[in-house]
Amino acid sequence: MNNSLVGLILCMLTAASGASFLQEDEPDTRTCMSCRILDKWNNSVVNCDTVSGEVRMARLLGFVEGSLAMEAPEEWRRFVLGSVAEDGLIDFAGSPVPLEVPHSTAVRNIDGRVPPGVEFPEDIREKLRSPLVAAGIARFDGTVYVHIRSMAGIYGTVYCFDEDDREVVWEARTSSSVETDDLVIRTGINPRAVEIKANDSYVVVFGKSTREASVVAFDRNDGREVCRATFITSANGPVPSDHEPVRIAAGKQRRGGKSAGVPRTMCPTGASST
Amino acid sequence: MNLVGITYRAASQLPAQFRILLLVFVLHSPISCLAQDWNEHTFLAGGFDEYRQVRHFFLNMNADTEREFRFHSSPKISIYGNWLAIPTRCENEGGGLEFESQLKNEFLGFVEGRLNLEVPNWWKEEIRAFDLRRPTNEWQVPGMSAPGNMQESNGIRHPADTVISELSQLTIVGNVAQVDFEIPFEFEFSVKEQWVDCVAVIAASDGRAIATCKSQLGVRHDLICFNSDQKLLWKSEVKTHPEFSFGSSGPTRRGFVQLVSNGTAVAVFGVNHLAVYLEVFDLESGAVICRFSTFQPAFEE
Repeated sequence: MNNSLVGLILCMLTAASGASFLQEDEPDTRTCMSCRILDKWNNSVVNCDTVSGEVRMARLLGFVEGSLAMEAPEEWRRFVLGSVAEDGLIDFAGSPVPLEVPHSTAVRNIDGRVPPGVEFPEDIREKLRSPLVAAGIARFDGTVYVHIRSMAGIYGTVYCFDEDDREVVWEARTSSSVETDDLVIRTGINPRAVEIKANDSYVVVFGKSTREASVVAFDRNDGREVCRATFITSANGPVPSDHEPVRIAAGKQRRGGKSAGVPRTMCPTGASST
Repeated sequence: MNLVGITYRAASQLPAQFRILLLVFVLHSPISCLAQDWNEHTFLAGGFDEYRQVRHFFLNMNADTEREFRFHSSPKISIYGNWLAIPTRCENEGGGLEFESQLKNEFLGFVEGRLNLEVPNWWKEEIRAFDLRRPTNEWQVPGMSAPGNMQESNGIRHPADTVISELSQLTIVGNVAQVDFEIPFEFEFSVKEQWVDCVAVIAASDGRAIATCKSQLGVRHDLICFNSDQKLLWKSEVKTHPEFSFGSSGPTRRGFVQLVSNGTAVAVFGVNHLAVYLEVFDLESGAVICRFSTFQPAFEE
């Protein structure tokens, strides 16, 4: 009885939140970073046959860096540029860059390569103790951003905490395997290797796997997701993106304060672009 | 007025040869240390200060400052940084012409992503063809890729002998609106000049239009915004060139200019006898968002 009642209430809440989604404005493609990056992928890479694969991927890379005002990690850059085969086809499986996490920000576990001077909150420290996680770390202006992902590859999470008081300010999920409000399982978007970087605006997780490269960006201050773009290729070349606004419901919560878990689209109107 | 301003004013009165000598003297003097405290405001202001700042950063660039420069929060500084870093990165990473080409394509993507604008194809070709190994105060011939007609642009290759009556009948078809307008008096005056080289007009929202008129004389030209009542809403200057504000001497020079808008800003993509340039202005106010020019002085000194 109680379970049914709770279920009913949950259903009503879900429906209500779904209705609110429907009332939201359509994403503004001029300002939605995901839209712009995926449009660039579709128009300048997938549906462009007038220039070589090298030119297309170089422009895509520059576009991503320009949109984020951030230099992509060297390994990720090489991975993207290396996806162009000799015959001009683009296929991430053919990139000569290995998928391991070789980057300087990698933190295998708490006893391994930890950047000096970083004291982790206890619960994050516990997560990092596991030999079954891979982690990356970025620091910017007194704040630490740790991306922890299970080696089993289900999902990853970005934790943001203050370097001084070690209080977790926000956390956000980076995997898109379970990311919609109705818990639809999405397949394929599960990068095997990720790197994390931060600048004064964004925290960005760069992912790569045998069939895709991805970029997930969060607002540095509140963890709001501002960009999620995945570039997929097959043996026959790049696959067009069926980009649609994805509702992020379970991606984020603020600890020790008000809940910030308000469902939102991944194309927030007014997301900064320039 | 500060010392730099006085020097600049004095320099502008001198013949070209003396200006160069004075410039070399100033850049080697302690005055140049003033350029270290640059900021976005002075950068956007253009002119002599900017010349020195760009030079200062280029000469003192290391791996850290290069990244700071390339990914600065200011679009102007980051775009300049990505452009200026191309030869350095080619040298450091041992890349040849192929690598330089890749970096130029990354630069073009960077410009599009940073400014949220579509770069015209002819401008891309200009950038790709630009010889970074030669300082632009040596003669290069930019403009080889600029279209000679309107086939791909909303710019109007306007021959100098076109009379004003033809321009007043312009009809601009934008993505969402068709705007009929007449050229405001101020602009009409400049278009009537016999040295007009290129006129570009683009429709904006609310029946407004943005226009620019490039002359064969001088390097700068105005960008104006006006409404259907011919009322001038704002006017900004397209500098095209960071160093000197006065006109060039010698034979007349041809060029090309095209306007592109993304709904919040308008970009002037242009090429003249000195440089390939891009300047971006706020659509509402005409405030400068970004200025970029391939013109740089000789860095080898």
